[in-house]
Amino acid sequence: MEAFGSLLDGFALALTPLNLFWALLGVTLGTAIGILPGIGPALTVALLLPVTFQLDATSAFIMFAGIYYGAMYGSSTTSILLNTPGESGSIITAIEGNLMARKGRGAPALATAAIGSFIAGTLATLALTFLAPIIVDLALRFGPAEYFALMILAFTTVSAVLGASILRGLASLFLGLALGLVGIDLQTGQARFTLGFPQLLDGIDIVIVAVGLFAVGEAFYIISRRDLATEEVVPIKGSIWMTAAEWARSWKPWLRGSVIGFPLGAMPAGGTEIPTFLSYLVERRLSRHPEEFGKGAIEGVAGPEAANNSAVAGVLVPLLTLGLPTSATAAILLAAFQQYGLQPGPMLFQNEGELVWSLIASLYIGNLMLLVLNLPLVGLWVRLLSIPRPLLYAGILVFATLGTYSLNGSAFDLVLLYIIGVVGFLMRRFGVPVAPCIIGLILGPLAEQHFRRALSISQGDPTVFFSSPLSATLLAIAALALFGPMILRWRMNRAAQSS
Amino acid sequence: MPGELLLALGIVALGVFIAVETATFRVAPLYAKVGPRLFPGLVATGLILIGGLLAWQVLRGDGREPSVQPRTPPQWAPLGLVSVGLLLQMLLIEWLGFVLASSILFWFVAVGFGSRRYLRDAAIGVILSVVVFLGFTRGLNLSLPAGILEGLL
Repeated sequence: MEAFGSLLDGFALALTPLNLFWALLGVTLGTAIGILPGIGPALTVALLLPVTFQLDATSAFIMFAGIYYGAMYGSSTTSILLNTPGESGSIITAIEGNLMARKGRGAPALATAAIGSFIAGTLATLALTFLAPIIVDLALRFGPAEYFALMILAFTTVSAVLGASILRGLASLFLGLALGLVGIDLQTGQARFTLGFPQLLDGIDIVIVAVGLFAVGEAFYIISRRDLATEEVVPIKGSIWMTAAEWARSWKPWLRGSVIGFPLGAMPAGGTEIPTFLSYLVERRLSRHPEEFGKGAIEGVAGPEAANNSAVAGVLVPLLTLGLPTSATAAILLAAFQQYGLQPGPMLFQNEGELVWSLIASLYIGNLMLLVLNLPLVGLWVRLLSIPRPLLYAGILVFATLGTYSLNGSAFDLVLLYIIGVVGFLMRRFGVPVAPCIIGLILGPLAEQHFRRALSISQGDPTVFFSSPLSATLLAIAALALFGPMILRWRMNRAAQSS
Repeated sequence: MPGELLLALGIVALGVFIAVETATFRVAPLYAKVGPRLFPGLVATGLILIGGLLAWQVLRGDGREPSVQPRTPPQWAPLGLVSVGLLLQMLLIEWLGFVLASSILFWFVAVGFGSRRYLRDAAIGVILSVVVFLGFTRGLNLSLPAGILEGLL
């Protein structure tokens, strides 16, 4: 029950008027960017990094967490009313949710999404509260070899899971690793891959890469394949107070979604998309009204919306306890910790206990705020959708260049931003996922440190990664994640040919 | 599928570049075994392997890789407008200042995305840029170039 005491201390800090203000600002901003297409939590936090360095670390992280949670609430609104998901975690919500809205049941769809998000968010935060200290105890025993193996595992699973194929995921990952190499080698002072530009000695800032890929690359991609048909916002009809039948059909999917989302978010498997797909499949199989799926089944909204919020809390487990980001947003949050000179991991809980626990406490508070913000006030939020797309993207790019320029006050960073934007456009066009690149960029330098430290301790003997059982196991799982699907497919092809 | 092939060869080229650069590092004998070369070497090897495999799959064209080759060519005109807006801002921000350079960017992007209300877009761009400039320089104490509007704002 040690966690419980720490959590109470955290609440004492999170409930101060100033921190409540930052939480409210975070969830409001999060809901807004969740609703708006073209801007997501990873991009928003990245753009805020140059501004927030003057802010107290605890307040900044309370706001960032609010943005991450809020984006999941907001994006469901866009999915349901517009049939275009606000964020990738709400793709599946668009299927049944939009059909419900078209049949005049938009309000109950929004309600089951918001209440499900609240229940799942709260349950998953509870799980985070009690699981985190256990993982911290385990992680305290990790040495450099174990950390390196853990990062290899994260690299392979993130590459294997996201994108159209493993090879494309790996291409993205290695691009990120290559970008991470740029700059001065901390151990020897050797300048690497700076091409003679003094601006590159400190490395390529993750803000530039994230903004380049998510804002500039995305804008290029959308405009390159724009169809001029305007999307239509379905007006909200029905009552947000769901009927007894709707409650009866929603509560089990909420709970199942929570249970599916949290562990999958906590695993190094890339965030919120997969749990929502899985939850949808489960609900379709278990529903007593399978004939309604594809025509607007409420279970198909309730389950996935619970799953994506639960997964967000899950993502925070490896981020806070191991310093391991498993989604693009988590990678940016890791960069935010580094900006404050903090390294997430077991030591963070010991040295910065106050920060961590008030952050976790603020997640409970933020969820409650979000329920109020999104359920009765949803009509106000919907007006955001009436911003014309040209103005929206123009505004996003102005903020993107502003955030990049204000990093160092140099136009050189804008040149980098443009180049990375073009790369991001090509990646999107050829089905290469961008998240592994961001994760490779932020984890690459850390992985190199652990790699070299482990080899220095063993005096250059590479078997050090296999002699510890934990590190060997992690590497074995990584190999399985990478080669398992390939071998399986190869054997299936053989079987198909021989029959 | 020339586009996909070019992408694969680009990845190989990046790997070769890193390998060549890495070979030129002068490394003290103390770090000869585990030094600044080892990790870049691994990254270069990975890039060459991945790019090579991608190229091989494109050339064999057996469809084992799910093809996500876009079916339609990109719309170059709007893409060009957004691109020009970004390049202009990059070149002009330090001379014309943030407000004017960002207003130009805003206008090009809005028109690129299909807006035809040119005057309204220009007005919104200027208003947004001025508000952002004042908010960031006065409110948040960030320095942004005022450019030729120095003294006016």
